[in-house]
Amino acid sequence: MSTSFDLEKSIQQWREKLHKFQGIEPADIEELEDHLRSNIEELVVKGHSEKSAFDSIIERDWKNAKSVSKEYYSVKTRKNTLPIALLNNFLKVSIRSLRKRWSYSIINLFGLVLGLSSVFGISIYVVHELSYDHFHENGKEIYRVVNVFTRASGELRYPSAPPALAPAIGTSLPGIERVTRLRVTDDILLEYQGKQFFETAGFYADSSFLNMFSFSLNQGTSTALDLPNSIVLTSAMAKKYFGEENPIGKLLTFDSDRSLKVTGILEEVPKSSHIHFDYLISFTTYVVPEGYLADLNSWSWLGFPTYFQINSNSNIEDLETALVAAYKELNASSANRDIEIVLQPLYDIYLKSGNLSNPHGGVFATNNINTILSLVAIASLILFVASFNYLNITTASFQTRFKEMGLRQVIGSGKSKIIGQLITESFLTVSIAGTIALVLAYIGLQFGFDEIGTENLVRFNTIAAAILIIIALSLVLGLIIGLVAGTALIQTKMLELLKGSKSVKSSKGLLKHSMLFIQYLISAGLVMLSIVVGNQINYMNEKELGFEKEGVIVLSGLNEQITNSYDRLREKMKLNPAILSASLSSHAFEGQSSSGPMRRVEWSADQSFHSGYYQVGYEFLEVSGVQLIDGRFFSRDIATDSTNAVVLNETAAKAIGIESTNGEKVIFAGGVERTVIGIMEDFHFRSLHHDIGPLAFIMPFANPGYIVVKYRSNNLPSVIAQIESDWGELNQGAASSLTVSFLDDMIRKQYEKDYYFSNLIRFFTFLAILIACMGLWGLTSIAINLKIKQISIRKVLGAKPADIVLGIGRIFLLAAFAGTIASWPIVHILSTNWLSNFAYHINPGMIIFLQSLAIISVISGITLWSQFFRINRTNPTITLQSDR
Amino acid sequence: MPAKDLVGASTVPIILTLLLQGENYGYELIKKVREFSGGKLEWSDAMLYPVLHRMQKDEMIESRWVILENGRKRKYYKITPTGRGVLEERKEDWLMMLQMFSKMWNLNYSS
Repeated sequence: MSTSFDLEKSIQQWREKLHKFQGIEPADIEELEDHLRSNIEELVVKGHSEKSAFDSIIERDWKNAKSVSKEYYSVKTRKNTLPIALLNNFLKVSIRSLRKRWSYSIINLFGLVLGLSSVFGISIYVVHELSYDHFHENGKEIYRVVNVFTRASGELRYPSAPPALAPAIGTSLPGIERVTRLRVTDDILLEYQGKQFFETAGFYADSSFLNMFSFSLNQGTSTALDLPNSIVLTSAMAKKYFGEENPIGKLLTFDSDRSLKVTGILEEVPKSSHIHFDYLISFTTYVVPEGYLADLNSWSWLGFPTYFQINSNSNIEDLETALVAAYKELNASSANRDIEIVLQPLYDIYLKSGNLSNPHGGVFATNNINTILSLVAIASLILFVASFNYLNITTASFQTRFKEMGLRQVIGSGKSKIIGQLITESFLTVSIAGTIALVLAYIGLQFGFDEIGTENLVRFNTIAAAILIIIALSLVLGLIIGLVAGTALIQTKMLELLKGSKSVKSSKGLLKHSMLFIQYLISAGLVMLSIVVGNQINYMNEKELGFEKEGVIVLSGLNEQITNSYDRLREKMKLNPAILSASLSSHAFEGQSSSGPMRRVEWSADQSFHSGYYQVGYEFLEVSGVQLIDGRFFSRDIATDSTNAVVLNETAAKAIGIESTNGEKVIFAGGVERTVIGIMEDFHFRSLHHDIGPLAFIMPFANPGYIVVKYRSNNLPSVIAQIESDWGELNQGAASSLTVSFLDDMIRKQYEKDYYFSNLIRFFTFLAILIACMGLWGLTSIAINLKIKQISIRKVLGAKPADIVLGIGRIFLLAAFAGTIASWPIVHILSTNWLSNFAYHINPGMIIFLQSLAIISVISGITLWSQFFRINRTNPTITLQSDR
Repeated sequence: MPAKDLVGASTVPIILTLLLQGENYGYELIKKVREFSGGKLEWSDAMLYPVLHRMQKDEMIESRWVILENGRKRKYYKITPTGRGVLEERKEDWLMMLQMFSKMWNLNYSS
């Protein structure tokens, strides 16, 4: 051994050299030193000197110490990439496998996209509908007064109160913070420097209105409605009159002789408000129109929607009781003294006003909570169908993958990893589907649901919510699939899988068939429901309403000038031979009517009942085509007709206990004694949702608002042009006030929500069937693939393709039919429930079930038929050779 | 000595396989590789450690220091569950390659 070589010193020098390199740390050097020493020891044992051992190792490994240090440095600065790499691998395999089985992947993807986009679309819509009036800061504390009359004929609920209620009770009851009244302005004419518009959407409102509700003011303060002759406009309306000028303090001419001062500008009323208006006029401006049979001290005139805001800590039941007591006491002298009051929470108004007798149609927006619930149910069903479809096709297609899975397991791929792979695949499919669906739902909503408005889509963070739904759904579906498939795998002997002969049957077969069963249960159920809904819609469109709705136009926008010169206008119009007749009327069959208590003169006030009424002109019977059963209609020759006569419908006549007129007298409409001069046939003055209630005709005591015109002409534009010119002549310069509507349009409008619902249910039925059929197609197709050799042999032996398809598809068809049959009782219950929304409705029988069965059979038949062609094309010589 | 890229690709699965048999340290790993390859695969000492450290960072292996009787410190490496997973996956790849070459070259390994 050489003594001139000091190993420790050389190692020390080597260490110092390594220290200089970036990336190599003391701990690394220690490890390397251990290695170096081990190596030297081994070489020394083999007979090397320490020096030669050291030198040879340094020469071999450390000549390029700098590149080693670089390596160390890159490790030190490196991030852990393994999870990403693993995921990458999962994804790669997933994409490969999805592409390999592209036809099933597309069925899966398509089904999921349809299902998810329905769910997203419906969710966005439902969230919007549920959000009504939630933008009011005091929303939780605001209640609307609903008056309840209990009559022998049933309960009537009116969402408005008499004008005397609010000032009388005011804030005197403990627990009440604010109270505010509204009065719908009849159509009014406003003018600013020659710019004249007929306005139809506005209220007289108590000054507390702006404090109670959170409609934001751009200009002005919440005291804007304090003074008489003040008006607050929405910014759009302000722009219409004033353009770029500052509207505050400007004067608008109101019904040609009064001025309204603009005291505030509101932001647009949010779409999710049940109250919609373009302007508010201070309540103190309101003057009861001349001829009205009541004044603002009235306790029986239910024309004033009234809202209370309560203290957040007061008890609503106590308050209701106190209100009822106060009402009774204050109302003691009125004919309406047996009215009860309930307070309806603000948040309930939009969706839960279906039981109200007169929800003020166009003024207050309403929707039916049942419609919303049906939509949620439909969305869930569609999602069920799509998920089952996915589960079915994916698990069924595993049978074709068992070879691959078996091999993986033999070569040591863990079960958890196989399941992880399956979950990744599901996750990938659902995420892709979810993303496409989200985009589709957005586009669909932009086109389909104008009323929601895009601002709401953003406001509710629906994107974030939808992404969460996609992720949650992907995970849940992925997990279910992974577990179902994994269980199947674990129960299966791998060797059998490798032989490719194993098809996992028993329990999984049952699962598959029961899922198909449920899919068909849902689809067939939806088919039946959409038939029921469609039939009801047809029934409503075709039902005789008891009056003429074709060839009738309705003129609105009558100001005082026109009303006063109505007789001249009528004569002028009648010079046109196309115009058969015309009459004044306060209402036009569109669902509205005025109403008041009615009783026979000899009855006590307790016995009075509520009846609707129209104020009509002499020719109304002629124009409307309503049939008179007994007595006569109003006549120009009898002076008292215009003040003290009434014509009743059959229901009202029955209510006062007569079948023919014999000069009976009633107290009605402003407490006036009126002689019953005639009885008319019942006609549907409200939509078919409602019973025909008692209705009376009296002659106008105020501006009736409409002129109903019956015409016979193929040239409607010229008829309208003639009317416009006649109108203009009498109205000198205010032509813009005339609005012409078609009666049949107005009637159809009452059913807008029904049409909408019908279209929705049809659309979703179509989706559900489509998805279910894809499922059926996919399942048969997989079954055929698995048995392709057997099929080929049978074909060679002379079996007909049709028999083969039926042989394979029989069990699926059975599940499908069983589903259809099982849906019948469910649909029966649901449709009976839905139809109970209509006072007049169809009675669906067995025929609907048979129709639906026929539709399902035909569609399923076609689906299987396509497989028939596939088998027909199969070439046994090729399939029998292939090793699958 | 096999081609450099092949050595690179096989390093991780080889280390993982060796660690599957038990805790070990760098020098011993190099020796084992030499033995298994009949001396045909020779890893450079200095290059092994960065690989080990990288694998540790990826959580495929973990390490601990052990004080030897002579006072020297030695770092031992041990395979983690993640490492086992990675190994299974790599194993699959290599087996696939093996099967493919077997078929292509008509070697008589049965699959």
